[in-house]
Amino acid sequence: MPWIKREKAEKIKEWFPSIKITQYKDNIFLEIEKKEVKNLLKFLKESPDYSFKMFIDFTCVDYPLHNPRFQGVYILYSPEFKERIGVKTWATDDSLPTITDLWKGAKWAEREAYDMFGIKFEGHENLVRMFMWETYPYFPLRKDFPKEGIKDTYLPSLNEPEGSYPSHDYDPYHTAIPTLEDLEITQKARMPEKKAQIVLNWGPLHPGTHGTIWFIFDLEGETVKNCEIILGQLHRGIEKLSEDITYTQVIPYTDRMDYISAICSNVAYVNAVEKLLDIEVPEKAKWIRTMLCELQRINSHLLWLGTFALDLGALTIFLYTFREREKIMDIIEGIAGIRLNSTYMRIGGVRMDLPEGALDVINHFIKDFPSKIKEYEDILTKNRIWLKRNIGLGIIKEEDVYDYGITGVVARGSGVPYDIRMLDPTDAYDKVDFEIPLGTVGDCYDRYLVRMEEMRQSLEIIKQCVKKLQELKDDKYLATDNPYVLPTLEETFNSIEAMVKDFNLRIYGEQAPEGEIYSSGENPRGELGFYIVSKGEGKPYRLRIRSGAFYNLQIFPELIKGRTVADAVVLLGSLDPVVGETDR
Amino acid sequence: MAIIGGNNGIILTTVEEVLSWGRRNSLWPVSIGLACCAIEMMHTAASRFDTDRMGIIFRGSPRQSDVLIVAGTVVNKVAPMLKLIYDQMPDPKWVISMGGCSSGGGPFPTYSTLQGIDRIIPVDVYVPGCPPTPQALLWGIHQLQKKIKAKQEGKELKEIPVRTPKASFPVKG
Repeated sequence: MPWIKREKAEKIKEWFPSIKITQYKDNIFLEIEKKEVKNLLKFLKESPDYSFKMFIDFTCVDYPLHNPRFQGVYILYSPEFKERIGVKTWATDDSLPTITDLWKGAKWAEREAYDMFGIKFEGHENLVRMFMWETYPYFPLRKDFPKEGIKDTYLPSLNEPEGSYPSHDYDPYHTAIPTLEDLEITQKARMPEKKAQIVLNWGPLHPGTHGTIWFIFDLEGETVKNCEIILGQLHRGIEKLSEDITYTQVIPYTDRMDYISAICSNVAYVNAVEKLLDIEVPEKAKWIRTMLCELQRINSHLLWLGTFALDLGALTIFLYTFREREKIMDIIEGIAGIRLNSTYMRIGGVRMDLPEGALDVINHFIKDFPSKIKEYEDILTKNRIWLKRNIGLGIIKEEDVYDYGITGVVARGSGVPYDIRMLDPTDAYDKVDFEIPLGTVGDCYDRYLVRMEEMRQSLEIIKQCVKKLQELKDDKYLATDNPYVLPTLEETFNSIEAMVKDFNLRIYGEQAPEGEIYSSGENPRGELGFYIVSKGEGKPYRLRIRSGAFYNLQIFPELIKGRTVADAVVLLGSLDPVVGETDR
Repeated sequence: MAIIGGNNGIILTTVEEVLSWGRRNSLWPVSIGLACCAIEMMHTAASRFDTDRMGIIFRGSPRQSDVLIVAGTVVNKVAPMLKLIYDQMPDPKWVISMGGCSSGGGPFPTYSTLQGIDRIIPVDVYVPGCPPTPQALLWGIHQLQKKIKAKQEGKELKEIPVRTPKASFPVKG
C-alpha cells in the first residue's frame, strides 16, 4: 500500500506546527503531544485534502525507561487517495483520550490496550478487559511481566501418581486459573444491566460459535435487544511470545493464528520482515507463494462454505466441501510436508523447491474444481431456504466499513474495493490478472456470492502461476546470498561458511536495523497486518498483529440487534471469524 | 465370548463383556473445537476418514456423550468451563488429549495457556502432533478402544507400541 508522500505530510505542519515526522522506508508516522492528538485525528479524518476515513489499527508500545512509558500508535487509511498514515503519541499519566467517538472500531482496540498494558482511556463507554478475565491482576504485555506468567498455584498433573517421580519434566506450579465466579464477574462487567427479559449465554464451547467466542444476548422473547461478545477463550499470548524469539521462529506461530489459512498468514508475516530487512525474494519463490496463497484461499473458503451451510442445516455441502479440502490438503502436504500448519515460507523465499509432479497435480485440480463449484451453487444459490435466511440479513453500509475498519470479503461484500492484493501487490500479484468481485447490498447473501466468485478468481490466478512456474523450473527458490537468509539444509551440510551463517542466524537472529514497519497481506478473513518495532536486535521489540477477523467481528452486536437468535448463527457464519486470529 | 454348537445361534458371554463391546464400538464424542486441532477433528469426521463407520458420532451435548476429545489449546480462561463440561458427562467417560497444546502446553509456554489438560481432568490417551493428522486421531481412538477392552479383562493397558527410529543421516543433494 502506498503511504502518504513526505511532502503531503509536511503540509500538515501548517495546522499542527508541533508534529514531528518520522520515516522508515516508505512508512510515515506523525508524532504529536497527547493533548493535540485527538484534534489531529479529527482533522485527518474530516479534511477533504487528506480524508483518512478508514480506521486500520490502534496499538501500544511499552518503553520502560522512557517517561512517559507507553506510546500509542494509530494507523489510518484514506480510501479516496489510497494511502496510509501512522500517528504516534506518548501516553502521559498512563492514559489516552478515547477515539471511539471518531471511529467506533477503536472500541475493542482500546479495550485490548487496557487489558495488555493497563492504559486508561478517558471517555471510553465501558473500559473492561478484552481477553483476560476481570479479576486478573496483571498487565501481560508490559516489558517487566515474565512471558511464563507468575506461577503461584499448585496444580499438579492428575495422571501422575502421588509421591512418585514424574514421568516427564514438568513444573507442578502453574499460573492461576480463574474460578467460575471470576467468569461470572467478567460477564457482569461486560453487560452491567439487563434491559430486556432474559440474558442468554451462547458459547464459548458451542459448536455453532466457530471456535470459542462467548456471546451474551439480552432477549425480549426471541428478539435480541442487546448483545455483547467476550473474546479471549483462545488468547495464547503470541504477541508476548514473539518478543522473545528470532524473526524466523515467529513463522510457526503465524500458522497457528489463523489456522485455516496458514500459508496466507505466513506470507503476510515474511513480507513484513523482508520489507524491514530489505530482502529481494527470487522470482520463483514469489510465484510459488502466490500460487499457494490462492490454493489456501480456496481451501479456507471451502471450510467457510461447509460450516456455514452446516449451521443452516445443509449437511451435504459440508461433506462435499471437505472432499475437495482433502484434495487441496494433499497437494499442500506434498509440497510443504505438513497438512494444516505448514510453515512453508521462509524469510527470503520458501523452504523447499516444488517436488516433481506438483504442478501436474495442481493442473488436474484446476480442471476438476470448476465443476465442483457449480455443484455447490446448484444446490445453494437459488435454494429457497438459503435465500430466505440470507437475503436482507446483516446489511453493512459503506460508512460502517470505514467506521469499524472492516476489511476482506466483508468489506467487498458491501461494495468497498479494499483488497491488499490490488492496492499493495506483494509477491507476484502485480503480474497476474484477476478481478475483485464486489457486492451491492452488503447482506449475508452478497458475502456468500462474493466468496464463491473469489474461489473462481483464485483458480484463474493459480492457472497463471502454474504456467509461469513451468518456465521457471530450475531457478533458485531461496535468496541465500542475502546475509539475513538462512541457508538451505543441503548447503549447511556441505559448506562451512553456510554452516557458520546458519548457526549465527539461528542463535543470534536476524540483526534487523532500527526502525518500525507496518505491512499487511490479504488474508481470506481480511487484512492481516504486522506492525514490527525493531531495536536493532535479533528479535522484534514489539510485534503487533492486526487481525482482520477481530475488527470484522466487532460489528456483530450492531447487526444482530432487533433480529432473532436463529439469525445470529447465519450472521456469524457469514462474517467468518477464526478465534485463533481474533484472540492471538 | 464363546459360540456354542456351530450355527445354532447361541452365544455365551458375560454382561461385562457385552457392555464393554458396546461401549468401545459406540464412542460418542462431544463436538467441541478449541483451535487448530478441531479442524483436523472435523476432517476425521468428514467424508474421507469418516468416523461414523466406527460408531463415532459427534454429539452436541455433553449429557449424551462419553468421550471428550480436547482438540486444541486450552487457555486458563477456558479451563473451568472445560472442567464443567467434563463433570456434566455421565459415567463411564474417557478423555482423549489431541495435540501438543492440550497434552503439555505445546508451543505456547505463556502466561495464559494451560500447560497440559491433565492438570484439570484425567486423560486416557495422548495423541501427539501439532496438529495430529486424522490418521493419528484414529490411532488414538483405536488405542482408547483397546484400553476399554483391557479394563474389562481386568488388565491395565501398559504397552503402547513405540517405533524406534532408524539412524538418520544428513540429506545430500
